[in-house]
Amino acid sequence: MTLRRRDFLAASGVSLSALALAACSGSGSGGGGGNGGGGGEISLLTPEFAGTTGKAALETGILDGFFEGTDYSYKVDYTDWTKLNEKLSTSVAGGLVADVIMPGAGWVEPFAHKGVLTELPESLLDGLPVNENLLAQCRYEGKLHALPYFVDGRICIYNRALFDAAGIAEVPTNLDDLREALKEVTPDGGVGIDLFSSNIRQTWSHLLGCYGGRLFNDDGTAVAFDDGSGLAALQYMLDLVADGTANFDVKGAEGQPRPWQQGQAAVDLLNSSLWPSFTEQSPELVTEDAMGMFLLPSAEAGGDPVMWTGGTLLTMSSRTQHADKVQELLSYMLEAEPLLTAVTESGKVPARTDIEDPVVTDNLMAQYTIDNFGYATAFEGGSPAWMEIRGLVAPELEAAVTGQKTAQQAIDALTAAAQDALSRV
Amino acid sequence: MSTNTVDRQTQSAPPARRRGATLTQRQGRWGLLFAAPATIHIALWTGLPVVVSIILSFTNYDMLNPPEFSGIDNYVTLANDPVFWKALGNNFIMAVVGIPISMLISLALAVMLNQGLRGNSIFRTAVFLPHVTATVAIAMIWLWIYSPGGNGLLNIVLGFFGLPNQAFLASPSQALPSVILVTIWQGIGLKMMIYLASLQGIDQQLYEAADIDGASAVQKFFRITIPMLKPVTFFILVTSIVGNFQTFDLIYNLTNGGPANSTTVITYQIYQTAFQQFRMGLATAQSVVLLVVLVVLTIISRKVTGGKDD
Repeated sequence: MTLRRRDFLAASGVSLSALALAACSGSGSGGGGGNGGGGGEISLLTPEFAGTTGKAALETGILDGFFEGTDYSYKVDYTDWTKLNEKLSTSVAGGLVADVIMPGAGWVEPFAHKGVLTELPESLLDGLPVNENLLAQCRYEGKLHALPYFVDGRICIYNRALFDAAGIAEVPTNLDDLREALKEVTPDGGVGIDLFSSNIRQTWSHLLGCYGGRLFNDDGTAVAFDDGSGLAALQYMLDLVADGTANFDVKGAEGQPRPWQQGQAAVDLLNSSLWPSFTEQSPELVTEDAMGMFLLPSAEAGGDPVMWTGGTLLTMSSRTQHADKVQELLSYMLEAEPLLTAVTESGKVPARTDIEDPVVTDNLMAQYTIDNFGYATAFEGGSPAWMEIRGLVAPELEAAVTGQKTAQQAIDALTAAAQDALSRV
Repeated sequence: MSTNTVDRQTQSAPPARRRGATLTQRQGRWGLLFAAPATIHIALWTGLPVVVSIILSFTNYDMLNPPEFSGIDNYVTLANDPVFWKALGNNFIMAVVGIPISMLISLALAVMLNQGLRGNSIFRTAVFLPHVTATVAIAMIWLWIYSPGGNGLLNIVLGFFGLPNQAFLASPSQALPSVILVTIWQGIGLKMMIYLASLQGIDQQLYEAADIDGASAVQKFFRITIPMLKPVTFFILVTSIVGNFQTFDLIYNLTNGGPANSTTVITYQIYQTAFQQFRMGLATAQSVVLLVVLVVLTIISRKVTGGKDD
């Protein structure tokens, strides 16, 4: 038999095509399955524990203690909050979902709805000293789908010297009083309150809570902030801007001290997890003598103050092959010692209320947050469509705050966008 | 027997004629063979995704459930989406304002450096440095420069001259010009290097002949230098346009498209739609529109720069 060039070319073409297809199919099928027997690998996806020290804290300080002496090993996929969403979604699409996922407040409903997260047994909460308010963000359709790991509270810190100079001895107890007080304490060239260094969407949803509103109805199928509370919350922000006590231009840049630390703001509405950076950058400002704290008050006189709460949750993938072991791991991570290691690294507030270590008790913002767990509410989320909606909120709010839209126009646009997203669920 | 022999000879004659004709064919086959790896590579990793994207653009697809055919719904949604048009408009503004300015500065720098000044290599390296610096690092530096408070470098400079603080990236009206300034600064280095290489390739005899004819420096620049740079100008223009419409990391790190979508661009919208909203069908429709825009702009660029790229 003679080999002709035409045959050679044809064979080469077929071989290359086969090789390419084989390469494609090989990479696609690599992630399936898992060892359902007495051992295997448990994977974790986390937006926390960044950098070398974070990795050491999680792996050496926490996970080694659990996996040592078992037939299981672990693999951690580190990411950050800005990329967690796409990482999780692409991993789901690729069939390579981690066994343990650490999402945030508002993430449970969307991913439980899509079948990515699975229900957890209520027994995991047995004996766990966690405030019931922190569990609302962990449930989907009334069933437990997550455990609160560590949280952060949105609290107001204020410069005592500025308040004393203005003769304000008591912190405001409603939003009108706060507005008036801010006019008195605004420093020259600065603002009364730094509303905009933090995420504007979260600030608005916090104020939404002050007006007794919420984003969605009970089952997350309809917009609820269009009842007037959303408009009132945004209008309050615009009123402060109009008063000159808040300014969209006055906000901290990435990695730099915030206006409050620079004396440009009397009050800072901030995330309690900023404590480590504040103590490092401006320790003289965060003593009990120099700094006071309060929660955003209710719009109604005599109403309860409001603490917006975010957090990092522990969840289990519905595709895990090691459900029992994963649940054991989640329980272990919430034990006092491993949890203390985690909050030491993150500077956040432990979900457990019984940790008396100086890491927590000396952290004034964390301790204040814990003391106010009774007012804690996760105002974000509440609907399976939340992940789609949340990216649409900030541009509308910014348009209003910068004078491109009225509050009504912004809320109307936001309502329409949210309803459109909800209609696709 | 002999008849058979004759027949065979007769039959074998045409192949002898074909042998001469097959030289070209043989070369063609070898050509195909050599081109096959690249062709297969492009077909698999570029052609196939483009085709799949076009198909997906006519579906509703959220990555978790199978795609559902939706006709032209995604394109209708885009047509009615003001944010998408805003993004497209921002891309055009960045291209129309930023690219000509950066090309002019690059050309000027290249002409200066081509004069053989002292410290040439240091200056060349300094200008090229932003191109090889990670965009994240560039964004961090410019965030500090543009910081709206009193500690931003630009505001410190303004304050020195008694001028009021500016919001820069926090202002819907100033944010896009601020971003364009960064893209110009970042893009000058590579363009300058390409212009410089091209300038050094221009035949000096042309200038000598012009000198003999008594041409001035300005005449030489506009009659010799600029025409001789036309091919490379087309190359820079097209790659700049494509690069401009692919700007993502700078926006992602500098402004997140804000405030109020004032700096959003198409690639950022594609990212938002795909990975924040999980609307893959809509995101691929946006990608298809981007592809069409780039093809049209490339054709226009070709016409504007004289229709030659060789």
